[in-house]
Amino acid sequence: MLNIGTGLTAILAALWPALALAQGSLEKKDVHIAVGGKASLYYLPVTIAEQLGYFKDEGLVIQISDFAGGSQALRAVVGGSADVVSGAYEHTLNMQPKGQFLQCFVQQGRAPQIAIGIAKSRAASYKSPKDLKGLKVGVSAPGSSTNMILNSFIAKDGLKPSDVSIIGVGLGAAAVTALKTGQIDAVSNTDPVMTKLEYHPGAHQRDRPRRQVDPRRLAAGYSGNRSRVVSSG
Amino acid sequence: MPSFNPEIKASEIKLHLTYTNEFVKKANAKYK
Repeated sequence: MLNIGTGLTAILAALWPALALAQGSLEKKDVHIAVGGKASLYYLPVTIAEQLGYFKDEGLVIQISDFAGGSQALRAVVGGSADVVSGAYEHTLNMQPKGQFLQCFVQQGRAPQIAIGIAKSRAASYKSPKDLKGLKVGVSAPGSSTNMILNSFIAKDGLKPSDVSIIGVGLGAAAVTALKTGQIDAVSNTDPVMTKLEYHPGAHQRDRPRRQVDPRRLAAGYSGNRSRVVSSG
Repeated sequence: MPSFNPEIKASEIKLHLTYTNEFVKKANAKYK
């Protein structure tokens, strides 16, 4: 098992500066959320809130756009085509040096919910993160949280991001296929991909991060966050 | 993150601007 322990979790964030908000009134009824892989359990609170009508209960009309990875969902907000991104907290940090001030307003999990696994064909030669040097590692999309976790993981052993080959494989069936067919040697991904791989004879190793927030509270957080759903570009 | 991101290493991140608890507090109060 590879426990990263970075504390990075999925969040909802939007760009600063926020507009002043009169409490109790909706500033913006129609909210466009960008998600990088909605089928991932990483984003389960958003899907549950959507499916059970919690956003509607708060007076919101939500449009959700699904992207291959968090970095692409982030670009949708920065580019102004979406109001809010459901993504990883670290994006609020790595966007500041670029002059983009994103603000997290709802934390959706209490654990990273990202695991790193290696193909069984490579597992015998794996002893520590430095053994990933030169391997092809699948992430949801380059620059996404799965990539960040991997970078953090290999940095513990002195490797640089350029020491591995990063391949975008998404957060769905394509990621499973990529490892099963040998297109990648290792993978940094979320559930259900990692669970599927865990029970597939071709791959193993994963951590067990879990804990989602109450989706109703998440929806209420959205409605209370009207001032943050306005993109400043 | 500074260990693998040179931009972060060279920057002074204003952590207090990266999050707010304001709305979660309201949500928690609404759904006790």
